[in-house]
Amino acid sequence: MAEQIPLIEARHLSKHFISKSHRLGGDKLIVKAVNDVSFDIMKNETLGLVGESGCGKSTTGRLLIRLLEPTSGSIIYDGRDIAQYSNREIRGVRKELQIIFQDPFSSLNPRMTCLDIITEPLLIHTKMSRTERTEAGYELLNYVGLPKQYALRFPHEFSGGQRQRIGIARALALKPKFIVCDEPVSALDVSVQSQVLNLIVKLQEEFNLTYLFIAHGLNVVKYISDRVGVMYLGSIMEMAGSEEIYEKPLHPYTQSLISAIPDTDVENKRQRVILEGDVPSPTNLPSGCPFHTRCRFCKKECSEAKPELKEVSPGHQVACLLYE
Amino acid sequence: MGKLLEVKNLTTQFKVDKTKIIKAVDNSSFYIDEGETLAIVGESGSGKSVTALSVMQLVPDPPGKIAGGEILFQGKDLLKYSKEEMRAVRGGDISMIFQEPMTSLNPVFTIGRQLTESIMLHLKLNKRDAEDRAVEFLRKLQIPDPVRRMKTYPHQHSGGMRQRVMICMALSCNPKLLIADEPTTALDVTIQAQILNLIVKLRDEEKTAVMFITHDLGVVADVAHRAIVMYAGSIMEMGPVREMFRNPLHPYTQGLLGAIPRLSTPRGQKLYTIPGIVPDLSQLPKGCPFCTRCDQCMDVCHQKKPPLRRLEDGREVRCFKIERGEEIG
Repeated sequence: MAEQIPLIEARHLSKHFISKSHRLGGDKLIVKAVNDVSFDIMKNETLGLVGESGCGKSTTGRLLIRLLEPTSGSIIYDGRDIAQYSNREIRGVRKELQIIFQDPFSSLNPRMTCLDIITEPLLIHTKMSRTERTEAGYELLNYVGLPKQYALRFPHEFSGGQRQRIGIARALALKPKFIVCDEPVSALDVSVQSQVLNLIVKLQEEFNLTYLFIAHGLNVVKYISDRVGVMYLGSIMEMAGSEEIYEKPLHPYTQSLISAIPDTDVENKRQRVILEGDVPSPTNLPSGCPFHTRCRFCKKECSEAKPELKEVSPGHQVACLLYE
Repeated sequence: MGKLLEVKNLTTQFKVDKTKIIKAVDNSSFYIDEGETLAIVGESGSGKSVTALSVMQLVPDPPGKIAGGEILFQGKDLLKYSKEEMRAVRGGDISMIFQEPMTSLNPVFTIGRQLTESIMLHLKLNKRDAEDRAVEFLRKLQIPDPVRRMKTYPHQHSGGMRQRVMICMALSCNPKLLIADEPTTALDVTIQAQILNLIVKLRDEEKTAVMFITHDLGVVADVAHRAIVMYAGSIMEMGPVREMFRNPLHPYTQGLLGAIPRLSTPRGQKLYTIPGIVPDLSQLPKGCPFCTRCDQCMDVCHQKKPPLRRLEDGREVRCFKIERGEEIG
């Protein structure tokens, strides 16, 4: 079970991207990918982050390990605010913060062997000799369940699931404390997904890892996470323990999101809450609550002020005026 | 209800190089009743999409070829049709929606023009009537402001909207059979729920039969009456969705259902895994295609391919573990 000491605290984190207008000489557009997001990730915990495409979940993950520079806000890791670290300073911490990417096809360099890929972090961050690195590489292969003789093969010789294992081995190479899993199984076949999920769970126990698990497959997130945060248009709408949020979703968005999951459980079919319309553009956010344009409980006040994320019962936070 | 489509012993093969031929669909037989939704489920390379393309005769030739079998649509063998006759069937009696709503619409023509083209062709309407019909269907698909939408281009719409336009195009000529090839895979869950709801609603209103191809067993549970599970080109199991999900007979179906976390799966419970990877079709094992990954594999499984058996309750399964019922191929 997770200890209740935060490993990472995000405070009022925002990331705005500037993109050019489609018209020549047009105004600059600001894409507000993440808006004023605050949460903690406890030691040894798995925090799930769900939402639809464009909701800012991947951006949040990348901000936490400083692959992106936040526009504002702070990231307290181990007592230090790494949001303001320079590139040189961040290198020292990067060892402890790693990521597993979604696409096992484009995230591995096709011209490097499997062994080179997984030991490259050691080459950059440690003073290990070549033989030490190779030895460590073989050990990593063993952890992720790849046979030794695959070490000198190139990425194209592996299947999707095996490539994802290489990606996991690379993330583990520096013995990190925190790993962002950015949709690690979405690109895999169903029969291979569960192999990788089991591996991710096993490694967490073995190495005392803390995960931020990003996915849009809500059944997968529920299965793997201690707590789950639901994002919509760059804001966290609700955050609670994974059992709690699926049993008693409070936010109208969470309710429809959960009811929309296609589940293989034919015995208890749930009632669908179908959302109208599409997600608004993050360049032109709705005023007030970002969800009010699609919400079936929308009141006049919802378009006026953005509701804050508030705790309504122990460990259950929701940003909705219905629960003020 | 009669059989609308009956596929008998269909084999579709692809030539991968000068000497090698792989069977993407191997001797498969199935049927779809009028008004029924049949799901074809499988992982990548299982032959589910090729099955659909074979029915439409859209398999790229070369390298692909329908090597044998019959595709009976309302009793007539589509494989004996001439190119012109087949073209009249496509988009008319049988229409298809594809996975990628981004790439299956032509970017340089307006939505209206693309919608009316098939209506004018198949229903022999003039332009004015075809436009009215297109608008009527856009409205049925809950697309706001349909008259204005007719004049817009595909890039002006979101993924969910484009998929609606595709569905509109597919349904506007009153097809008897709609083939939906992973229609919601590229969409977000809430949009997926909208689109699935629409397909189910329209199917019930228009009494259209649907062949629904997907890899997502959750979607199958939502939309289909019956399902076929395919693996490496062969049908492994067929049966009504409820019964199949409640009591899967084939070890592969059992594995697939066990590998997906359900909402009711407790946290920390180890997921069932099917070992290994989906085999390369050019290097299939000699016996049962699933034998190398099966945890209930017996000696006989390595020697010959098990026959498909039809059980008393109408379900079909291809496994030596099941010895009841009659062999059907």
